[in-house]
Amino acid sequence: MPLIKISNLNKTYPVGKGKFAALKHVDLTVERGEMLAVMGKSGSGKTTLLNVIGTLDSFDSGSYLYNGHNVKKMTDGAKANLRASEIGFVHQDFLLMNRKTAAQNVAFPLYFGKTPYGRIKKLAADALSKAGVLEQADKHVTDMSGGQKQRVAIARALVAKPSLILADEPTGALDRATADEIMGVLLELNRKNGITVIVVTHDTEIADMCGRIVYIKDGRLMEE
Amino acid sequence: MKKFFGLCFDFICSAKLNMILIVVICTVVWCTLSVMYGNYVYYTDSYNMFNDAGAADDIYFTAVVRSRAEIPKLRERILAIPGVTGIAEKPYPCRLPLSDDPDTDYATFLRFEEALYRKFTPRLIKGSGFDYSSDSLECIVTNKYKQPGVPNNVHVGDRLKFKYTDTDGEIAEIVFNVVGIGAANRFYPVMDGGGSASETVSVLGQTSAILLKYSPLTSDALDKVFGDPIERRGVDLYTAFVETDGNLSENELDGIVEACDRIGSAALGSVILANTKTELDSNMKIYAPVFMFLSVFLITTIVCLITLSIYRYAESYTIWRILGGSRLRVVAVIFASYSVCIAVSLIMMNIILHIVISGSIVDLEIFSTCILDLKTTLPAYAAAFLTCAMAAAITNSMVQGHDLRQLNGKYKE
Ligand SMILES: Nc1ncnc2c1ncn2[C@@H]1O[C@H](COP(=O)(O)OP(=O)(O)OP(=O)(O)O)[C@@H](O)[C@H]1O
Ligand SMILES: [Mg+2]
Repeated sequence: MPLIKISNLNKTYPVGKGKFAALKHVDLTVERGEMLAVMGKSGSGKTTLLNVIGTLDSFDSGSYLYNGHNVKKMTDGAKANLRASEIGFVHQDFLLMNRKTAAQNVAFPLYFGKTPYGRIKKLAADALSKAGVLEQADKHVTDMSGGQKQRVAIARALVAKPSLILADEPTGALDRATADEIMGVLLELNRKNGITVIVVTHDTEIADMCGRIVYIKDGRLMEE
Repeated sequence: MKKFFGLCFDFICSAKLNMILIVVICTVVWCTLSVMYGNYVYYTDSYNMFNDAGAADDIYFTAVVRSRAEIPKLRERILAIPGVTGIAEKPYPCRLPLSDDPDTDYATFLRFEEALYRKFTPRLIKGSGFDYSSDSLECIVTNKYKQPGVPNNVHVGDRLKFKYTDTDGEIAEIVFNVVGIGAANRFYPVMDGGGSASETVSVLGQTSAILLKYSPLTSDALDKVFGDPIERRGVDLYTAFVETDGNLSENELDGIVEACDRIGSAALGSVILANTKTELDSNMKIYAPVFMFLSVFLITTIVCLITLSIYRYAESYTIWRILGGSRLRVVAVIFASYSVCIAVSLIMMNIILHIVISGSIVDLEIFSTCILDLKTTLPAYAAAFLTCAMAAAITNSMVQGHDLRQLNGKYKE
């Protein structure tokens, strides 16, 4: 069973009195353990697709099965549980909470899941070490470099041991060398831990590191 | 649950200033509202009690006495006035120095004569009250506001034992049968409000004192223990309700008031009731707009502050959603956090009213107890709950249409 099976999915945004079609007849199947790059121009619908896959956004028609479960039929609570236990997000702007330390940021998603309270600290430390920033655990994220912040964000994404990591331009705010490092971390998670990774990017070099590339143009998805 | 509290703590920390402001504002407003409400309850309750006792046709009489021996003569002169049918005397407060803790502990008692007891029968939650035909030593206690020497949770039928130091310095003991448990919000004619003729029904008050049955059958035993309160103080205000024949005309009543006034000072019950009404009305003229203003002020400030904090928190809040927080969870956290805030302010209110006000302002035996009743704080709790619910509703409406793009700052309409 594929991890993600999207068929004929359409998504519109209300704009004024009319509608704007952001995703049109999208078909996409992603198997477990794949590393997928999504490319496309600005405004083509990459983030929209990622939001739909990540259950943050709803869609108008078509079907989306996550691991065989019909996402359309899920309640808000069920989707939240899915995000808490199955899906990790990594974002261009890191989306870390600035008044917290790295460890606190990483521990945060566990407050929403089923992890017992007593194990939260340990799991956060594990994730930090996997992402290579264990030494920075007690630093406030405002005092960190971009690369370190993104590593913390990756640690946060993998702390709940997800099956899927969605990365929206994870290297967009970083220089070349740091970008390669971050991609290295994601690749390793994919290869060693078997986590399915979907990376949105403008950068062909980054995309080439992934096993498979899909393109999106005006809301339509095209495979290489 | 621990995780839920963790989230609440996180939210409270993130909106510290707001929370502190809300606590401060709420505390001030609760205090004002409670004092106003307590005042209102006190006046209306005692007005009704006074009225229900049929005291409108009575004459409230006071006179200075220097010894107990003067009292029978006073009574005789009053009873000699045509139209007067009886006298219900003030319940004498008296204290017992408890020998177990001689430094601080005095138990206070109120001795009730039958006439007054019949007129102002105390509200009881249990028991049948005094039986004036028996010579047993009976008492009524309240479990809410306790006197020293009274154990926790007294029941009807219990025997209350007091060890005290008698006038010879010996340790003695007296035992009372508990025949009633007084309601928490009980009023009695404490009648030590000063005794001028401009009285309102503030001659009534609340007390935590232990009520004693005082009758010709028990007076000897009680006098032996308590001695003569007038003699001890040297001077006292003899205070009583002078009862009149129910069929007297206004003129005749006025005549009796005049006659009483020549002996001591006197006021007609109906005048006292009218005074009370005037006082209550004038209070309400101030209270009503203040009440309205404070309610509106409270609700708008809280709603504004909460909205503001949610806007400021919107980013983190979106992150919560991404990390797996459901709408319900997020709303619950915000609701709980603000509830904590308001609960804190209610606790502060209780502390302030209890310690600061009841400690420093005279006459507070009257007010504090009725302010701090659950009945009077209940509206505050209800208001608090409503406000929290409002906060949750605001949050919920803000949840709609918040997603990653707003964070990016990329999306423009
Ligand atoms: N909430 C919204 N309401 C209306 N239109 C929207 C909304 N969000 C996105 N759009 C439109 O949908 C289209 C796709 O947006 P999306 O953010 O997915 O693009 P993107 O491929 O991620 O672009 P970028 O590379 O700049 O991040 C854009 O044309 C955008 O204007
Ligand atoms: Mg985008």
